[in-house]
Amino acid sequence: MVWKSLELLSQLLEPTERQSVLGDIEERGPSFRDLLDLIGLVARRQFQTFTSWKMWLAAITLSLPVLAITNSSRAIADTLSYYPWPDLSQLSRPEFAWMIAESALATLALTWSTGYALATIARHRSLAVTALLALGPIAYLCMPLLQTTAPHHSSTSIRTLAFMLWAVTPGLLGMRRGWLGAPLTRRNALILAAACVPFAFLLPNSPYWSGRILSVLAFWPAYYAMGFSIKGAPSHA
Amino acid sequence: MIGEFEYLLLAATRRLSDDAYGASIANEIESTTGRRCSLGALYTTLDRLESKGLIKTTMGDPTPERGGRAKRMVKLTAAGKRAAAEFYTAITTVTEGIAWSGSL
Repeated sequence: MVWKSLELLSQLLEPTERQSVLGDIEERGPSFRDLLDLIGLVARRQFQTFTSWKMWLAAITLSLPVLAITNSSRAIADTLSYYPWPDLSQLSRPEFAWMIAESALATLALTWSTGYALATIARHRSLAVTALLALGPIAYLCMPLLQTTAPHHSSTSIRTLAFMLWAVTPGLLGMRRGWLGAPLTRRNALILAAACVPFAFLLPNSPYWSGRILSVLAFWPAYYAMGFSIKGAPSHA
Repeated sequence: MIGEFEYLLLAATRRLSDDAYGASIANEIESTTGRRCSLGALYTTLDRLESKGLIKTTMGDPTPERGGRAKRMVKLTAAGKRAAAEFYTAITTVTEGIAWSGSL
């Protein structure tokens, strides 16, 4: 039980430190005090990460695509709730088809690549901290997204479902891929980046967003994924 | 000047020489002082000493008794030896002529 807890907790340390700390504990014989020591060490390391300017820069940079995703999934939820969903016959409506083709695909692509970039950056650090920093703005922005009544009377359940489908699930899948350190093929990375391009045109028209340059900057994770497809992701220690 | 725990760590490293790593340093400190050495404090102090240039750490080979995990080997640098010597001199100088035993 103690050893399992130690192993689980040590996941929050960098790979080399995890190896030496767990090795030292095993050599000395694991005890409950070691568990308390490890909690202390993890807390110190997490605090040190928060004091690094690089981590804050990463969080601020990540907040751009996160804001774009939140904004977009809100727009999707509003559009979906405007129609008596799920009514597949609505797919023939040009507005609906346009929304699916542009906004939804761009959101999926950006969410996946943001998760991918986030996990790749965090692989040699603490994923928990970076994820928390990135998920913080998401959680904050989710509140009005899930609760406010839009002009189209979009319900909380529709908004939640849209958010889960377009923002959470692809993000988690992208994180999984990034954590494994598996680069995309160049073709797939190019498709991913191309799928994000509509954001540059859609976001500036949104009432919750301003600036075309910010829109272009918001899909940097797709460029990041493309960069790794050419260069190759760093090896996992 | 370095602190007490930093000095203990440098002294243990010097004594253990080529066999200085996390667990062995902790054992050495515990056996010589009789106080428990927390691994958390040990690792954060190792980082601090390394950032000050007083020690150098490298990852060693994995061993079976550690479940195949590598050791973080610790080496004293010239600056580390000087810092430990300064601390020792300061402590012995400031303690000269003082008898602690039996006094309140």
